[in-house]
Amino acid sequence: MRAFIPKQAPSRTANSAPPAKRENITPRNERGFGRDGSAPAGLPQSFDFGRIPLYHPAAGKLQTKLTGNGPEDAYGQEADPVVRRVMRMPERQHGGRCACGGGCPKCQNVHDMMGKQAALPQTGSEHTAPNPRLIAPTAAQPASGELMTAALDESKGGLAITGDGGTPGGTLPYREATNLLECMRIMGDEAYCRQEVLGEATAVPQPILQKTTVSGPTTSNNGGFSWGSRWSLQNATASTNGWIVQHVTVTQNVTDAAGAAVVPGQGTFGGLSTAWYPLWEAWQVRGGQVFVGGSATAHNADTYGQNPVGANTQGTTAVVGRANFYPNLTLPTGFTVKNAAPAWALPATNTDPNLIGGTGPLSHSLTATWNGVTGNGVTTVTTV
Amino acid sequence: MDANDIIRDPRSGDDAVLDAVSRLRSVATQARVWTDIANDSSYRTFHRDVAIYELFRRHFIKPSTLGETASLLAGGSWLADAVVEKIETISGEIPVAVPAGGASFIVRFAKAPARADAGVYLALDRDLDADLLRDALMSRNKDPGLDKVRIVDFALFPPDVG
Repeated sequence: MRAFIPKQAPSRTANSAPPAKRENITPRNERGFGRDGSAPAGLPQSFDFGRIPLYHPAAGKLQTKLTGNGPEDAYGQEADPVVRRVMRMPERQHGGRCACGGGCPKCQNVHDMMGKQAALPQTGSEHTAPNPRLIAPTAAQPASGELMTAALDESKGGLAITGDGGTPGGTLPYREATNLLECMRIMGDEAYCRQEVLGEATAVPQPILQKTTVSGPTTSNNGGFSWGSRWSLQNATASTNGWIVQHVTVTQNVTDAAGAAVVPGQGTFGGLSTAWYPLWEAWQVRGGQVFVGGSATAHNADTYGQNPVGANTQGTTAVVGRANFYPNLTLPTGFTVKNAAPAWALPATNTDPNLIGGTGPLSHSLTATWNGVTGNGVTTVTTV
Repeated sequence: MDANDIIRDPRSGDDAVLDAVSRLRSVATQARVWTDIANDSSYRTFHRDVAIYELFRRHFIKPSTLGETASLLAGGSWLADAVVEKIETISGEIPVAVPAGGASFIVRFAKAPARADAGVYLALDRDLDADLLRDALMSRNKDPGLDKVRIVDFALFPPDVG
């Protein structure tokens, strides 16, 4: 991934890009921008856009040559003027979305910036000077990197991005270009900024939670069952981390031969106790792999299991689960491992953790029905 | 003092025992060292729990038959104070893989004051009751066939005994 920061001319180092030949050529167009991208009088000299592989979100065609309005066009006479350039910024350690989920100061800056920039002109023909924040020097030192030029594209009303040596470019509306550059100056994350500013899909698709039956469902008379499912994440990569959290509820509707209500899990009756629910239980995802809670043991099977409720009973047991993957989640401290029924080795809580930001819920439910009063007690199971 | 001496000394404090255990290499001690402590009620509960934990961690090899395991436990008198529970009601996960037709159990060691629960999950290749498992592990079962039932997987908890 490439990322960039505004040029800091005084701090150019041996590893940074050499001065461009164009820097010594300073004719100015009508709007006062020099051929080398130098700003009009009164504007800082660091009005430079960078070598950023920008693409028009809607155009599949790359523009490698700037366009003008014709030979008589004053701007067309300078169809190739370099009006902006920036230097490459050091790569971010993590790609894609910010791990904070949007609440960190950097992300807030991006969001604030985008709100303020909304008032800027939409087209290049109405362009104004870039947001001064765009060119504010940063503490980061420019790394080595080639230049990419950005010039006015009157025909398309935006900034045409052209790469030296055939680097693909495109034309972006002025506001989008400035927003993108500002975002990258703050976040240093190209994929993140492309998605946030341009609405482009990230190169890495979102993980999708999936399940596969690995055992059963098996049954035993009078309400006994066992069903094992294994979680996995489609599109997971080595950088996929977070927690799978499943919300589970259990409903028991069981009676004895006299029609009296039976409470599974109490006294001599077997089965899942409704007192254990609602329950939220969690599996950690590290490097795209799923583990039993936060342990080093690889996840094998999320199991719904119940021993027989008892002879001469009839009824229904419904286990309803909804699992969701929460990328980069820090599991709330309320989740604890009890090594006891019903979650056993999983961290779990009976208090709603009110998690947000999941990749989408996945149903994981089982219903068991039996009649050991007037029937043979055989248990039938349906699963979702 | 040598780590083995500290571990064998019933007067050693909890921290000293844990420190000594951490200084031992993976199988630096004979299983007998641990069973002697685990089966001796003159040791404090925590000291015995550490010994049981280390016995499984360092010397139990999966799969092992119940007969082999009973020999390893050398009587397993500590099981008289342990809770052996068959895992049948679950909406979660256990850290052992249970084969078809098998059964899973949790053996909770005697609870040491002010210490986290410790124990071991066991997965067997045959379904049997918790009492039968306890008897088999304590070399008290009356059915010789049980000795051939295999423990195919096990997992200790917590991750570290301390």
